[in-house]
Amino acid sequence: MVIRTIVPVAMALLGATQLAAAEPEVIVELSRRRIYEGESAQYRVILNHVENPSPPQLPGFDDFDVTSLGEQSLNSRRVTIINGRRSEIVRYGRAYTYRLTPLQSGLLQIPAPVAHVDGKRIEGRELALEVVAPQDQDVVEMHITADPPSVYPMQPLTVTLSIAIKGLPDRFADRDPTTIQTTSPALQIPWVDDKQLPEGMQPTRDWRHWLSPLENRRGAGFGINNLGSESVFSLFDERRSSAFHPKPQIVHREDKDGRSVAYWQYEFKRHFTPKKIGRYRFGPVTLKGMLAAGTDAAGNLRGEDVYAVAPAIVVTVKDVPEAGRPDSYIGAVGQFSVGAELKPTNASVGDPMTLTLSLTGQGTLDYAYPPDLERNAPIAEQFKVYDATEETEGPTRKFTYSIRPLQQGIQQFPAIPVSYFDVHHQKYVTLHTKPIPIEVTEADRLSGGQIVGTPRGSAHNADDLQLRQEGIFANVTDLSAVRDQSVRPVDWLAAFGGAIALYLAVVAMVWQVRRRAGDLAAHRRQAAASRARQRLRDAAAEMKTRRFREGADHVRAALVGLVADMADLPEAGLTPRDVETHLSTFGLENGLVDRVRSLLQTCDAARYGASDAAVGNLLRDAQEVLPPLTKQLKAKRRSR
Amino acid sequence: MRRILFILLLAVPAAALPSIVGCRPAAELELSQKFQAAQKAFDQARSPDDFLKAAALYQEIRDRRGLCGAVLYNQGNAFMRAGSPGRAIAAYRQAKRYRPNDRFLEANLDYALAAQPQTPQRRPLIEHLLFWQNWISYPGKFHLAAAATAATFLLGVLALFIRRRLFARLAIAGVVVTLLLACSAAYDWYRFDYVVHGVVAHNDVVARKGYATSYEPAFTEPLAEGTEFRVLQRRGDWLLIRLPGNQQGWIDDDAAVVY
Repeated sequence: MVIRTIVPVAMALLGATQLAAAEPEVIVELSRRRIYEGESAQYRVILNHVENPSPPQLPGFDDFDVTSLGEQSLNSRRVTIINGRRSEIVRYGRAYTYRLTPLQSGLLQIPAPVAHVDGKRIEGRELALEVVAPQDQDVVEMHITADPPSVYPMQPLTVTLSIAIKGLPDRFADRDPTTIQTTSPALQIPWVDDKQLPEGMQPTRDWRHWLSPLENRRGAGFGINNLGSESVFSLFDERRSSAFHPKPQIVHREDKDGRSVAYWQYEFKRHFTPKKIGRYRFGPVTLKGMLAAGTDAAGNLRGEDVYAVAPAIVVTVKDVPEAGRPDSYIGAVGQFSVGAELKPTNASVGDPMTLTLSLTGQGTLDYAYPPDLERNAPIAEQFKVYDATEETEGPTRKFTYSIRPLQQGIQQFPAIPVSYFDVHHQKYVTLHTKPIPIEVTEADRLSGGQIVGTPRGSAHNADDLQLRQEGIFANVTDLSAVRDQSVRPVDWLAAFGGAIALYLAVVAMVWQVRRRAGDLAAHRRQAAASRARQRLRDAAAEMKTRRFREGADHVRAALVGLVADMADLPEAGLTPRDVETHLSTFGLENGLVDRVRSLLQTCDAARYGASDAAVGNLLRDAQEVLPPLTKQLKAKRRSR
Repeated sequence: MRRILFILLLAVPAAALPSIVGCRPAAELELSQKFQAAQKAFDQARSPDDFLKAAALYQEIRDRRGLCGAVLYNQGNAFMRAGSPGRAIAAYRQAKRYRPNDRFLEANLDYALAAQPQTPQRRPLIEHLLFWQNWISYPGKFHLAAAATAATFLLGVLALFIRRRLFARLAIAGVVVTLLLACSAAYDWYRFDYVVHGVVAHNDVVARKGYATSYEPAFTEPLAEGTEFRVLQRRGDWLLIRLPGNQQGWIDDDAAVVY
């Protein structure tokens, strides 16, 4: 979707520069100019008037975590023929999209990207991004830890998100703070989505199996990445927002006034197995929601909007140590056993033999390479060794060599040393295959007699027929034996094929449903409308009790959440301007976009004391806008 | 929704099971009456012509009501009593497709074949692999294949929705069994509906080297009644036949009964 949005913008840019000289240029765009710490912004670099560009360089982006989101060709060719005159306009360009995640707060400068075209260096322009630090609060404190912080490939790793929420005051002190609000605080955890995990970082269980045990049916706990859930037997859009509630632990820590108070601490632990060396970033994690921060004069709980960030951490997956690395090391990390098989074991000098070396166990099998048998003197002296082929079958990696004995009288194939790195004991382990007894004879010629076959036998079944002499047996008179036994194979074949087709259709449908169930963005889109409606119902309930400000917040959340869910954007921090931009990008009708913007502005105004009349109409207007907004968003998304 | 789909999918083979496992309607009244009439004619027959008339009544049932093992067996008996062992053999052979384990039928066929010189035939390899091929009737094989399909379908649905390894393994085993039974049924389909068999219905039938009486005889001896063959080709009123000893020749189709 992101890539698709680039095209019209870039084409417009190309069109705007149509009359300008076709000099190569670098155009930069930023999706948002102001974000909260922990959020990301999309950064686009367009190389205009360049036919076959290389990707731009992004020097000096030290304040950002940069992730490439892909690239898109903007090449176009337009031919017009007017009064027999043919004219052709050719444009070249390419757009590169990145996700920038700031590593600190403040007004950050995004350095100019650099591109080299035909040996000439061209630069884009610098941009500024304001990163708003989370407010100073002591209601929520979050941090991320990794245990251990540095690992070898295949060494298990646990990443823990710890969330400490200040205990409730007075008579509510013994109640879990996450069980009292109607809407769960929303967490954005980057490592929840398995598809977003970096290559080489493998979770031990998929996100569904990881989070399912933590799901709370009563809605207590935290929302995570706007995940919705479905009933075990639901097939279509029967989803609701899910809440996840790890078992809390009460700890005491100092609040911002220096007093020791009770905090409820929740931990989300996810286990990974790294497969490749490198540096892997986990985080940042953001939390947004209303949490109880005290009591009012009547002793009722007082809510406070909280935005908190857990800074990202980096886990290093280091290479196995150089020191002590044996020559027979084959690049495998884990725990393995080895075996060798040779066929045939009787051969003449020069005959081909097949040696299969098997490495079986848990570890980086795919990165293991075949031992170099030419460097193994006992083998190289007696055998000609050809290059090995490699294949992985389940937990076994097989290296298959073709070898030919060089001399007669060889009685065994020597042991092959194979070394790997054992992550549990953090040391190299060298295993040896067992020597294989063989017999190598002198090469000889095939005699003519050896290729003459034996005559085929003419045995046949000669069962004697037993004849009856007393005539034939009587007729069948039982009427139950009388029925049409004709077989219509085509009908049976059709039924058989129908059963197969039905089953394949069911398999395809279930596969499709399960695939959709695993798509987090699709989850959000499907739950978007129902979430928005629920929020409007919450708004109605608030306004009924004349809590207009809270009601306006719910209306705002309904509209912003709907757009964020449909566009798969982080909801936190979306301004009315952002929403308007996204709706325009979607291509919604201008009238509808204006109404949404107006509603959001009214919501914002309500926070600062707008008139009751203005706020009173807010809910009705939002209820009117929501259906066409949902319909158009779905329609435009489908058409894109 | 998923529960409903699951139940519907289970219901599909369940609904098909009664017809698969043999819950068929009883014999029609008209069919029963015709069968009894033919049997009465058989019982009252005294001459070969009378038995031929009884055989014709059984033929009428075959033509109007489809094939039935009991009818074919009785028709074979009528031909035997009428002194037409060739036609009897053809009827018995067809009856064996539907009553493979009928010992009386087996005995009567042996009796009809007693006068014929028998050439031992090697069983095709496929009949060794599908060793049950001659133990189960032609429709029975289709019913079994369909029952196995339904059971495999059920296991497949269970494996799909419940995701137990046991169900997956059973479903795979079911696929193997279903394929074997389907092969067995398909082989019968081939050998009974695609391969045309025949029996010489008269004595001293001369097989010729071409499809006209002007051609030389193909063999030194004429064919005896009851000689069985396969039809390789038909041209007009002539059949190119292959005998069990692999000899080929052309005969007039009036001299044989084919099935």
